Amino acid sequence: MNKKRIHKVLDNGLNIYFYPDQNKHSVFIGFMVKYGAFHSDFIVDGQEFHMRNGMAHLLEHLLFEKNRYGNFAQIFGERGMQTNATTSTFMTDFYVDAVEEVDFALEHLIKGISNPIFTKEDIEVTKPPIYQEIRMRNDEIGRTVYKSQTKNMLKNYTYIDGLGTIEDVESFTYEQVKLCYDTFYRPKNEILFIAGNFDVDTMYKKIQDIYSSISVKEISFSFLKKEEPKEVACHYEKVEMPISKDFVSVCYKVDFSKYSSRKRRMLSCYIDLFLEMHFSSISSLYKELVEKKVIDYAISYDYDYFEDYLLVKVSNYTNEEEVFVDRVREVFEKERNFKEEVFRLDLQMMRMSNLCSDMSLYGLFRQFHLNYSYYDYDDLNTAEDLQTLNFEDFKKFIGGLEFKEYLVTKITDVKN
Amino acid sequence: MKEKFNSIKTESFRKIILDFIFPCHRNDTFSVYGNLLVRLLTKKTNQYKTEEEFSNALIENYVMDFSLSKSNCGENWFYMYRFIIADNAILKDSQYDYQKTLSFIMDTIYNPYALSDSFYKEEVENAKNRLSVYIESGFKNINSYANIRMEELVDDCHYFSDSIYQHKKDIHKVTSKELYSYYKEIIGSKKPLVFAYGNIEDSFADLLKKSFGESRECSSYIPYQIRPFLPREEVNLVEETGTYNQSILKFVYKIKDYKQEDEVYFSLLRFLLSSQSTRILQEFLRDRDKLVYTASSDYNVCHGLFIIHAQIYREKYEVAKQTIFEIIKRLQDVSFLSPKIESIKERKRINLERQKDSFPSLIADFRMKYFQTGYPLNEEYEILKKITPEEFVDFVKRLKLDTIYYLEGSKDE
Repeated sequence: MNKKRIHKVLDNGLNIYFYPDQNKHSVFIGFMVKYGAFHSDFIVDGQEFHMRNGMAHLLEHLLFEKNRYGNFAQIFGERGMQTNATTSTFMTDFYVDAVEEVDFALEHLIKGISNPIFTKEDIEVTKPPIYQEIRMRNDEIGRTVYKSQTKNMLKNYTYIDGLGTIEDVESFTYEQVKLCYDTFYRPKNEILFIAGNFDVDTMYKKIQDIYSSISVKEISFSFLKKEEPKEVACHYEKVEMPISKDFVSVCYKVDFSKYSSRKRRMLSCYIDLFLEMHFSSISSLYKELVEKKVIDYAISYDYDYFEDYLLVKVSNYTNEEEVFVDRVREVFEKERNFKEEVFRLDLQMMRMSNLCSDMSLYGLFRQFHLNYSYYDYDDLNTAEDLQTLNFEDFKKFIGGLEFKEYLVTKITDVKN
Repeated sequence: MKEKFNSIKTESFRKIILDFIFPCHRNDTFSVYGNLLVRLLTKKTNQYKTEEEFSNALIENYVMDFSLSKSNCGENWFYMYRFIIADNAILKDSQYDYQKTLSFIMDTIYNPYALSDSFYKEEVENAKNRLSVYIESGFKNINSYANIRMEELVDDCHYFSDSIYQHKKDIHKVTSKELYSYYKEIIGSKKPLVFAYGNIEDSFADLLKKSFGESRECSSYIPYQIRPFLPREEVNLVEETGTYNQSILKFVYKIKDYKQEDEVYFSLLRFLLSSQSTRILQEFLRDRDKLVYTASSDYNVCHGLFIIHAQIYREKYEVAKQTIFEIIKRLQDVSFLSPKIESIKERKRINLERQKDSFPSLIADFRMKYFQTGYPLNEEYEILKKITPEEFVDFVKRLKLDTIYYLEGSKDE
């Protein structure tokens, strides 16, 4: 895939990123809005607003299913296109992938989102499937752990997850939905990502023509940033749900305020390497815990960014909660096992993955989305990015992180 | 005699995929053995005796990904080692030696971490623990549990009797020695069927062919044949309760006089119900009646099963059932179907273009043709183009509802 980016900006402030590739057989159009699940607190024209969880997600469903053309799934689906929408922590995305009738896809996606016509009734009929989605996700272990972590680690934020509760979604009024739409769905707050087989100049001209018929009302807004303390709200939570064996997750809250969004992109590689060296199946901790029969499976690990904080989590199935938690904490807080050979090999793997992977157009979009929403970086990853990484910087960076504030979440079976 | 070595040379993709398939006949007795092997043979070898050493060796030999899986194909099991390696025409690494990588691959397959006639007891115990947790997790996860129960309920011919969920109690009986004998018989003493995809140069293909030596016999398999269920007279209605938030409803159909050619009709039926072009399930269950967030359909082409699956709220159970009955009835209405079938034909035509960018599609098509388990996409399309709504309705009339399974979630949000 040709990863060469062409960036243009419309007069109305819309940023457009083109990744043309004549070897592909379709065109992928991603419409990204810089408004996501986390953005519950904001100021519009000097006035503060505080929304319950789930608004961005409700708005996504509404615009996808009840736009002026109908339901995108039907409109695009009838033409053999693939389409969907997702709400993530910091952005909402709508996309369509078209082999034919690309102009149709482009115009209907943009106008459908930018010229809404939803009514009170539309909002109410959109809600019941969301209630069912909430019930479905509440049966997932991963989501249950995630909710425990955001709830207990972000003291001053009301964010728990993007779906909200049924009560949250039930409470949303037409006025609230309209306020959020009018505030955040502005060209200056949106991005178009277009990849695949197309001509850039022709496509750019089409986008300009489409937006010439869309009027934009200027609104001044900002997201309300809260003073979030380093401390967590509590250190332990137990949740009951059907599960074969206890699932235990240890999550640390790490102050990341001194690192800009851009810097975080490369530092994330160091975090990945740190977690692999200390918790993956090549780590001494893993070997030790398997030998002692504390765990059977590979340890899972992950991390997330929320404003000034990094949440790093390590989890596994175990009946030896105390042993698992104590050892994981020791590794985070005291033990360091830096292996230069592993560092070198992991960089080699990253390089191979970057050069030799066959990412779909959707995969490229996801990578762009991740880079933009977490790192304020408006491009795809390249193998050259890895050249800045080195072992000494890695050790110094990890050594400078303070792992102190933590939460243990235990998922246990309902009968226990 | 089918070719044992097969390659698809294409420069459209940036990596090389090597699949080594060891077929054997399905046998309930060895269900646990196979599931243990896939957990045992991917972490160490006699040359790389720790997981760390093996993990490092993968990277040093330019293996981007490695897996071992077990799947069903008619009356066979297929054990497939998959190695995804970097294409050096893209990577341009002077240290990269394909011969060395192939030697590593051969060693991984034929030199597992074992004694001369047995696996190490501790390794086998670890694999057993992992398998037990996997099985228990399956019983606790709502979707997995619903599938396990559905298979139990429809399986009056014991086609699914080798499912690991029915053999949990056999895990502890397997010894390290017996497991090793099984490995030796199925894999260790055999040459696999080889499938190579990507920028395969002739020299590399020659290396591959020579890698397996002459002393090993070739693997063989029973040619694929469908094993259809026979429809039952009475519908089996099973309702259960679980401690979940959501509820699951499954309708399972068997087909009267099922034949392999029906696969194209199955595909059409699934697309009609679930694809974005026509989305009949979503249109009725979600858009119109607000019963679901998601509903889907699927089919088992070997056994002639069609399944409709909906995740609902318990208070909507009766309404959801009636809506699904209504949908099946509408599928016998030619005027309702005609424009939708044309829409699916168009979608399939367009998908043929889209799939040219998909490595997995290319591989799936090739294997389907090789094992004659179904129609590759372009062949399917040629048959589909000619199907009339009336012929499709005749197929729908052959669907016989076998089982309604309802798992009610009792937990409130």
